Amino acid sequence: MILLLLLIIPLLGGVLGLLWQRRASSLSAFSIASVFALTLYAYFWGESRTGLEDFWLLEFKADWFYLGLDGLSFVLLLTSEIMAGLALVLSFDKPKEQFFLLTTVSGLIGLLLSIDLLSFFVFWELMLVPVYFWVLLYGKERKIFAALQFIIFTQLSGLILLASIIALFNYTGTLDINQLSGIQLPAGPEFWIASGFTLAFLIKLPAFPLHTWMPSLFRDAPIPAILVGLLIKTGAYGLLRFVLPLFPQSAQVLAPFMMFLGGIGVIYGAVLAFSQKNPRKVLAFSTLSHASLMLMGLFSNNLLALSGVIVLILTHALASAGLFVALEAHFGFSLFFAMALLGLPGLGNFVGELLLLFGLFQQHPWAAMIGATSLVLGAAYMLRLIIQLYYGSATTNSLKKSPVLACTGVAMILLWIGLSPAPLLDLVVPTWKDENTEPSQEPEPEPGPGEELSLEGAGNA
Amino acid sequence: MTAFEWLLAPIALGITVLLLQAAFARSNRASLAISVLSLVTSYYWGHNYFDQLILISSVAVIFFACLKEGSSEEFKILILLSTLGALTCIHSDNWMNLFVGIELLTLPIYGLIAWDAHNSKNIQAAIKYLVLAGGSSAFLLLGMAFLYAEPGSMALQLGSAKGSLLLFVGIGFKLSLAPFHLWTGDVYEDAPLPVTGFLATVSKIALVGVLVHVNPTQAVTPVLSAMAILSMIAGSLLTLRQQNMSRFLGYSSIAHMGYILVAWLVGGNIGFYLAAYTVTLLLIFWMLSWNPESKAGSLGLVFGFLSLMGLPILPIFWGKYQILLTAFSSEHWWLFGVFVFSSLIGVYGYARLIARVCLRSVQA
Repeated sequence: MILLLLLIIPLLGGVLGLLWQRRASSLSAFSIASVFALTLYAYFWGESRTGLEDFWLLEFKADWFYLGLDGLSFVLLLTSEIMAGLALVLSFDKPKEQFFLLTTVSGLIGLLLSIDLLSFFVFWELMLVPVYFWVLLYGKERKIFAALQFIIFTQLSGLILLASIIALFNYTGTLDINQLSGIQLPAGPEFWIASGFTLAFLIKLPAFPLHTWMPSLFRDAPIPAILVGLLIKTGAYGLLRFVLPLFPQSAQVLAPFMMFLGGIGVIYGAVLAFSQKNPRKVLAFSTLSHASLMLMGLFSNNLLALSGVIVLILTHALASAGLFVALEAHFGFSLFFAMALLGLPGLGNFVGELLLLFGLFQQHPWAAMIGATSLVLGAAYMLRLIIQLYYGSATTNSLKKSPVLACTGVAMILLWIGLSPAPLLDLVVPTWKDENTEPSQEPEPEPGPGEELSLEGAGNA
Repeated sequence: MTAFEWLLAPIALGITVLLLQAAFARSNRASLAISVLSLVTSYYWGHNYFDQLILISSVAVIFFACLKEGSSEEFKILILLSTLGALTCIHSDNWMNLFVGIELLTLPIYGLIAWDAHNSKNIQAAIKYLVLAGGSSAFLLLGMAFLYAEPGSMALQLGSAKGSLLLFVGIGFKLSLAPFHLWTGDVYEDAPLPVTGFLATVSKIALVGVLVHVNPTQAVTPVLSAMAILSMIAGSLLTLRQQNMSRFLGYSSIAHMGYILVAWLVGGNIGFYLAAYTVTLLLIFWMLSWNPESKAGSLGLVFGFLSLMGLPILPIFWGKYQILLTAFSSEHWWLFGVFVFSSLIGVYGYARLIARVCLRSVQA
């Protein structure tokens, strides 16, 4: 029930705000704050644990509409609610845009909570609708092109996902992830279904040859739409939640290919980011570069790398969001978030990248070496961005009070994750371990010590 | 009287009363009341799913015509006659009845398309439809003759391969399946809007209702699969650069009839898809005849087009989902693949149209 409320509150807030536009801002703020509080409540004090499937902390099930909460979705939920808060700060005097903001958030929450593939698909598609209209109505000059390109690519990914889901249902008779994890598919279909899912998620991630929708969208979309709609890596989440646990063997088979795509993406994204004039496009290509790094980590079959991916999903979203807010308006914050993005030790992104690269190196040393170049290249394009924006003429800090406050909050979180990532990893990693040691994928020989080692390294650095 | 006669009687009575009324006391309101009353009474007797869809659509079309401009008695008489034909189609159990039903369905439509006799475009569309529909009726009749001659029975069975193929030329024309779809764009664009609504719903439902009476046979399946694939692809490709809303709906109906043909070939759930499609079209035509420029009108249109696009939780998605499930489990890979692919192509057309509707309403 609480989970259902998490979905309904933003939706209701959005609709009420549209009807009563004078109070829209306070309604939106109230609904985002209450969803945030409710998420915390649900995770730490939610009563349930009814023993249906003891894996999920909380469940809501009505036929195919099946929601569940665990550590992974909890962490991503909190992140997306923080991003929603940031987006709200940016669109405080635009009541109509807040409607799109809240409906997107509602879809995003549904997506992160779904544990039945059909409901996941429904939210996957529903989430793109408000983003489409948002870009279409409130974007910058080439908005129609950007919106159309966005909807076509995402529908392509959606239809591939749908076809794979139908194929999966045909072989297993269920789409519930709890039951699916116990079913062993025949090798041939498993490979094709897994490839279908992977392709669908790669488009949304985005990964190298399928990323073309993203730069134009980043250029012309309203910034709040980018924050809530695109920076949360739902593609990476889909890979993490569905592909890796359900099709471990096929993931192994696909891994070299993904390493290849990821390796190209890391370098290609960085090189293009270095040569862009528009700061938003720099961020778009830096996102491509980081998403490719995540892709390499996801398919590395290594617990360390996976925890790195999760940390990187969060910190990359937060740091880019902060940079978007501060862009051309506040030098200090721009520099801080740019430093976070280029992987300065002591900030969250560094922890994520380091864990990811450590884990990757154990499995695929060559891939890790290519991935590690992202740290160097990232420094190059981020510093160039800062020089381009602030060097030369005198600039004043034009950021208003509430964005400054929000940026401070995000900076604190990044600093906290950077200095002491253990609490975050404790939240996420156990759930992942439970989920993954059961299928035939062999676990790390000794995940414990390796993890502690790396954490110490992160702390010391 | 049988159930079927009970179904037709109110409409026939309504037609008679309307004729009398047109002769003695013309009144738009009275004729609206009479026609709606007769259709609703008939709905009360209808037990068949398709009956209900047809009657709902007919009432809706009469209602749209009144929204657009006060429509006269004759318009309603023609609509009622055509509805009568549609119901006859669905309930016929032999080829002869079926042919009479189809002709009764089609003949009033010629008049309806040319309703505004001062508009040369309407007349042109009517003549186009008349010539092509006449030709297709000839194919239909020849096919029925073959189907009767070989087994020697009038029962609705696809006994003869030659006959079934000729029959499907006729049916394919009425359902605007490729390669018999060429009339669709012109007629949809040039006919009066409520009549386009009628063509898009009632006439299609009736023919689909005929389709579900027979089962696909070995002889026709490959040809019809090819027709379905062609329709899906041609329909979605034709929508891509279409500016005119009615013409767009015509082209999109080609693709959607292709989807329905797929459902029929793989033994999927046609009824749900057809109902979802009809409801969506009625919403769109309602908005078009009411006030497409206003805020609420644009919102309705956007919802309609999102549903046609196949967005989840809007009705057509569930129809598509069921058909795709059946197509996959019955191993019709080509039909499955083309279905998905054509949905993807269609997205661009729908998204572009939605963008136009939205931006226009924001600027207004």
